[in-house]
This record gives sequence, structure tokens and C-alpha cells, in this order.
Amino acid sequence: MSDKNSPCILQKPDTFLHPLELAVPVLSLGGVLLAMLFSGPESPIDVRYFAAGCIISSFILAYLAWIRPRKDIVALTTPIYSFLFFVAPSDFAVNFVLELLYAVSLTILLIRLKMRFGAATEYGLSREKTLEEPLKTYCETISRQANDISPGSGHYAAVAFARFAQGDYRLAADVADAALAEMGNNSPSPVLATAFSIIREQGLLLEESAESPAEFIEFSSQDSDVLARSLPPANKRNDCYEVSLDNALLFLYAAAWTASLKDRPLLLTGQGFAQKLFAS
Amino acid sequence: MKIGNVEVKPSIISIAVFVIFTVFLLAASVNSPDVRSQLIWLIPCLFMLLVIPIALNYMSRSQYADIAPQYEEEAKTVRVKLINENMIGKPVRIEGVVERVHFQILNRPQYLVADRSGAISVKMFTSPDEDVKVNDVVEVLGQVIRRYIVVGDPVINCVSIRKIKKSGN
Repeated sequence: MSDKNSPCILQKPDTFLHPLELAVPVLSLGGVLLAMLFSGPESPIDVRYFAAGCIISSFILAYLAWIRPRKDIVALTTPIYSFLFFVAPSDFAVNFVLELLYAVSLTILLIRLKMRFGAATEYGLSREKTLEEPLKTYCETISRQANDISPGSGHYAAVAFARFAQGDYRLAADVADAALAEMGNNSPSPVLATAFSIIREQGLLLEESAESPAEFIEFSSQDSDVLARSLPPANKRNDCYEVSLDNALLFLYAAAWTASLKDRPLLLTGQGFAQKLFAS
Repeated sequence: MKIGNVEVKPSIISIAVFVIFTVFLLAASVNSPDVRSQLIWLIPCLFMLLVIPIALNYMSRSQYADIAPQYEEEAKTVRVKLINENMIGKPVRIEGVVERVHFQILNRPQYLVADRSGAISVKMFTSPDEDVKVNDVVEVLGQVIRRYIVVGDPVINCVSIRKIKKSGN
């Protein structure tokens, strides 16, 4: 996969997100520090102004929560609390103790966000704009090892994957069937033909809500170089059945990404599903 | 309690609220003649605290009972791993083990159901037909929705959850 064909816009997400993450404790606790320094009775500056650090940090934290795939409702609502504590008129005084407690809470929430709610998407862009790891590396591998796939087959692969991701299993099976008919017996990529066969078979079984059969189509051990997930032992039939489908879907995704550039926007909408298959 | 064909299950919170206010009213009416003179409207108000949640529960449960056969017909049995954001709005059926149960006390139970391929949140907006506990093996029928309506990971808006095997413990 050449970089010039990739819709990936951004290369170094950390240069933007890490400073933002650091800004949360730095701004909030920095504001507290200044509030402590200027908290004397003869101080010319009202300590309430330093609560601005906590307010800005709250908005940054909410942004960091927003750009994650899983949303943390607590972090998302911190700007509201910052407004209630530091801006809205109330009976309790804004002093450095309140600011300190608030700043510590924000820092704890940031740690919780990073530990429990996954990594942020690059620059806040969704998975609909850029291909992420490990799928990106896998697509690059397939583009090197299976570069003889035609754009027509790539398009079929993209549509079959998209239909499967949408839960339209019969349509996915129909597309796989059409692809196999077009490729005939002279498929340049036998792995692609096997992947379509697996999609057709398992798509029809899912459509009928049928149990996994005793005998089913699966990849051979010679195909393992181009498969995303390693093949389980042959005696674990349920695992073999499920991994066959995962590998077939991921191979179709990578083949479509490599061979059919016009389908990349469609493939990016299904990236979340492909990443899930990888992670399982 | 059964109204028609619908088993109505008011939440414990609703019953607790009714009981607490009944005790308050009894105490106040014993101590104050002013309160006793207002009992003619205080007692109906008190019963409304119980009647309204029962009525709401009846309506939601009868509605769920009506749509369950349609889901039964249309839903496809899928593994948890196959459920993704592209399936939003699709009716699905999953089978798995209940790993966690939350908010049962509010009649808005939320389950974490896992099968061999993964786990998914199952949210129900009324009380279930059966008392589902951790480690029960269940069949869930519902629709794929986003966790926070327009954002968040896919979860199942549960129409029906029933035990297909008793818990092992």
C-alpha cells in the first residue's frame, strides 16, 4: 500500500494529543499553585481568576473523552461542573482548597479515561478517515503478497465485507457467489476464492440462524502467511469455524483495500468491525 | 401482579417510596389535626405514587410483549463479535452467559452477556419476564443501538431475555 494512495492524513497523532493530556494537570494544578501564592489578604489579584485553569482543563478533558470510541460520561460533563463550581453564583466561596480538590479530581478522571476508555482516535478524526494499526500493517502485507487481485474482484470483496458488516448475510453470500462465478476456476488468488467461499457458506448459515456444521470450508495451512489470525488446532472445530470467518473477512478487507481504491471510503466505514475481528 | 395477560412488576424503589410516604402520612395525621383534614386528597395522592409506576410498567411490558414476536421472526442469531456499528437498527438474537447485572432495582436492568467470541451490554427499559442472575445462560432478543443514542459503542436494546439454562451455582 503506497502512502500516496492512502487517505491517512495524519502521521504523528501523539504530537497533538500528548500535550493536550499534559495540559489537564498542568493548567488545573498550575492554577491552584498560583491561587496559593496569591491567597494572602493583601494580594492584589482575586484567587478566583486562577480557577480559569480548572475550567480550561475541564474542556480539554471533555474533548479528550469525546474523541475516544467509548465515551466517558463523567469526563464529558466536567465543563458543566466547572461552570457550576467556579462561574455560577453560589453560597460557597471559590478558594484554593476547592480548586485543589477539583484539579486533583480532573487528574484522576484523566488517568481513568486513559486506562478504561481506550486510545483516542488520531487528532479526533474518526476511523472513517484513516486506516489504523494493526489493520494498516495487514493491508500493506496483503498488497505485497497478493498484488495480482483485479479491481473487479477487489470491488466484490469490498461489497461482500460491507454487506456482512451490516448484518445482510444473504446479500453478502450473493455477492460472494457472484465473485466466485466471475473468477471461475482461474482465480489468480486461490486464497481470495477460499475467502469468498467461506463468506458464501457462513453467510447463508447465519441468515438461517443455523448451527455451525461439522464440515465447513476453511483455509489450508499453506495460506497461513496471508491470514490475519493464526489457525487454531484442527481438533477445535468451533474455533476453526469462527477463525475461518474472521480470516476470510479480514482477507477480503485487505484485498479490497489493495485492489479497489474507489471502495476505500466504504471500507473505512467498516474499519471498526475489521479492527474488532483483529482484536478478538 | 397480573393485569390481563401482562405480569406487572413495579420496581422496589417505587414500592419503597410508597411505603415511606405512607409512614410519613400516618405519623403526620396522628400528630396534626390539620393533616387529618387534608386526608381526602392526600390519600389519593399517596396511591398515585404506586399507581403511576404500575401503569407505566404495564404499558411498557405490554408494548414489549407485542413486539417480541416480530423480533422473534426477524432476528438472526449472531455471535457477539459480529455485532458492530454498521448493524445499528438491526434485530439480533444472541446466546450467552450473564456476567454482570446492574440497575435491576430500578426496573431498567443492564446485563453484560458474553459468548465465546466476546461480551456486549444488553439494556432493557422495562422489567424482564424472568429474574435473570449472574451465570445464567440466556437468549437475548433485541435491536442493536448505540450506547448513548447517537454516539458510543454498539449495545443491544433488549426486547426479551430468557433463561435457556439455569445457573450452575
